[in-house]
Amino acid sequence: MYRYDEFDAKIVADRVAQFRGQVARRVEGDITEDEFKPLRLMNGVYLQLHAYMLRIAIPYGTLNAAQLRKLAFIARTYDKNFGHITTRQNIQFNWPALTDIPDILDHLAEVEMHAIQTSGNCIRNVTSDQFAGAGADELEDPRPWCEIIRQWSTFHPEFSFLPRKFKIAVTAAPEDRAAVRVHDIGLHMKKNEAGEVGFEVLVGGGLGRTPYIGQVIREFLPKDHLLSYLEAILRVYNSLGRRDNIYKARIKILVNELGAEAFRDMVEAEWAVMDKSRIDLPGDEIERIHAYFAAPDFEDDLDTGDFDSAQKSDKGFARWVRHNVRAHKQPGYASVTISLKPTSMAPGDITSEQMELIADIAQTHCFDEVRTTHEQNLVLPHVKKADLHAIYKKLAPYGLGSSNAGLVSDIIACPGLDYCNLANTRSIPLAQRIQKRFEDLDRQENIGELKIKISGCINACGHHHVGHIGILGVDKKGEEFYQVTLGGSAAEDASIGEIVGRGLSTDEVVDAIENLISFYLGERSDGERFVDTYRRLGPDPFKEALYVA
Amino acid sequence: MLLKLENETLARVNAEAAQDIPDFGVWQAQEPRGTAVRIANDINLAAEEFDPSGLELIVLDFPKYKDGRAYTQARTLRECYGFEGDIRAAGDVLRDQVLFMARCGFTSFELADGVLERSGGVEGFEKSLKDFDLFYQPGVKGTALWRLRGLSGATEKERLAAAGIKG
Amino acid sequence: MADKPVKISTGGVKKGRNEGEKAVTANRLSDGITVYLYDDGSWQDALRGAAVFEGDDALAALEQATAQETIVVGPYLMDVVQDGDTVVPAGRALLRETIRSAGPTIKSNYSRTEAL
Repeated sequence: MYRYDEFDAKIVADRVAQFRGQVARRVEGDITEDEFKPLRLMNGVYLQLHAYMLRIAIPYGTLNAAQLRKLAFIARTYDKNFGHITTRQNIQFNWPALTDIPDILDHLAEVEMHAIQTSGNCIRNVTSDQFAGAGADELEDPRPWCEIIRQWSTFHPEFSFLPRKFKIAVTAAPEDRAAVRVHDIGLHMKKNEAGEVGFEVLVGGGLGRTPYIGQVIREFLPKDHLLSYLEAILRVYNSLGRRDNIYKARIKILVNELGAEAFRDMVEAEWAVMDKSRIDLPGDEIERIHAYFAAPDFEDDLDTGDFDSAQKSDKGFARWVRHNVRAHKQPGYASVTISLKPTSMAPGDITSEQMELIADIAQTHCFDEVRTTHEQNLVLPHVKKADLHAIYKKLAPYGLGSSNAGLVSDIIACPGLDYCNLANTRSIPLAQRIQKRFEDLDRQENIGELKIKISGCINACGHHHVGHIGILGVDKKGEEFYQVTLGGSAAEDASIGEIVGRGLSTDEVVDAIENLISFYLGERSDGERFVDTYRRLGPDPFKEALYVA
Repeated sequence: MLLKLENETLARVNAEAAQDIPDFGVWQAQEPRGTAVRIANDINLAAEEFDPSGLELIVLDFPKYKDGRAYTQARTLRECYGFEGDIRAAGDVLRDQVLFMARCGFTSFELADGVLERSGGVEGFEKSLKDFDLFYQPGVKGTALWRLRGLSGATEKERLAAAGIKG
Repeated sequence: MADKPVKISTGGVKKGRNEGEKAVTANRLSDGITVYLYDDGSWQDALRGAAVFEGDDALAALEQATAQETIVVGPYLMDVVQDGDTVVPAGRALLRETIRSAGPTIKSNYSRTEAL
């Protein structure tokens, strides 16, 4: 993973000192809340219902053991002993005091972490494939490019007061695990006819009030020109993006008002006159950054140890292997998804003790590497198959052995009205009730891959638009209601779910989800996932099934 | 209240207020054209066949400090039009944005009443201008870090010196 | 004056009509904790003893609170009812204000000991 040199370290230290001064000026009354708010947001500090919330960047979801231990320390010292993994692969703490945050940022800087641009109308944490560098299907590791974008976007003087927030995702595998089609800019690494690897550039995807799938504005961008092309896109957006209405300020609205072709023409015109050599990195700097992401020292001809026999003797392990263990590009290794979705916990929550356990495992078994996922889980990217049973036995007593990755209980949920100042309804209790209803693991396994995503308001932080089953909370005269959408996907087959039927009351909604799933089980043909059956049959029969008593 | 940036320091100067400077339409109609113009955020210079030669001052507007269009305008004026005169930030100009402004090519800052007093005076603005001395990306002002990293064989002290930091 | 729309809790915090009994609530600047204005002008973290206002008195209290930018952030009026000696949330934003005063509904050790 990337490591700071003395320059990176100085920039982060200067940032903490700057924010410490800004907090002091706010407390003294020298700056108003209105002036302070964007400053704190660009340092990851929100004010929620009960307290401040601090969102810490985990660039493209890559962490080491020392960082995880530091997060555990912060949770224990300054918070309530837990953190929450977000859909942008970040971690947030729900209870820090504003006056402690500069100290927390100092602690983070010690392990090369920060909270820079995790909120605000600027370029946010770049996200990527959680299996980057491990998956057999990827063209190359996308993370060096994520780091290049991270550095370029950090304190960008021209693009720190954009019309609205701006999210970029990069992936390099045909199976899109980074949801690049629902980002402001999605970069999908592909080969051109000459066999060179470059970027397919998608613009204008996004969720929120008005969901859009991103449109391709360039089939192939040579890698070396990534930054100048991004700069051209951002410049057009900063000049022309709407500033009169916060709900129409995202780039997706601009792209759709202008049309993708007209937008592309403006970007290309801007790019054509730009002095690219000033902005694009030279080859040696690109190489310098790539060197940090060299593959670990994998061993050849590994013995798989008790991997096969343990699956026969330990049924729980066998199930975990079926759902949470994934093939690795290196023979003898595998990637593990550590589910943060046990029944009755808030999806994505992780305690200090759990963080420390995973840090130990990462150090012992996984080249000191852990990943966060946009589905609010963790990943051990490179572990020996021979170690899997031992790892499972360490995880399970800590509530980290759930064998549900990709299944009905692996739910994405926003924090909802339990924490969030914007939410209309709660999300987490509903996720927990659905998990409880489908607690039986055989039943979950029989249902197969099913992505349920829950948002507590129209801002869609729980990605409901792209859930196979999406659930949107709406407030009706002070009562919580839930609107169901079906057929969405955030993957390479990206689609926006369709709303089916009226809003359901808190009492009705779990039964309705069960009705939908029962209908699917009755109708599916071999190998069909829920979303496949939905796409084959269309919304009408599902709509009817929703209300079956 | 106007602050002018020269040789890395800010100084109070007296000058005509932004509101008294002709806006783009008035300036275009002038015969001969004056040496100062005020350009609104929504004017697309590329579409206007804009020629800045003869101009000494261009005033760009921050209707709210959160409205960042003038950053792109300033950078375009410097990098695409080669404008070398004074670019003044007017409107909601605050201490915490002044470094971004300077990096995009602004050279003077017109402050609303009371702003300087509650910003620690000129020193406060100067302090914010120096919050960072290393930058990941190029700007009108400020060398991109990768250029410093590219000084192969340089010691840390030499590289810091190249960045203008006293080791 | 009482009919003028005012910052009020209606699910989110929006402009609403100033009708009925109100408490003034905000978040404390230093730590963000939910607080309520008391009769003695102090800010406390338990709703139960909050000062209750109506009409122009509520507006005047909100105006005073808004001026206290170095103590609290984002003050607004919330609907309340007095239940014996205790003040409890009421109205359109009942759920939101109940959660604000009592803590998240999902895990008991995250709740606030002061309330409930």
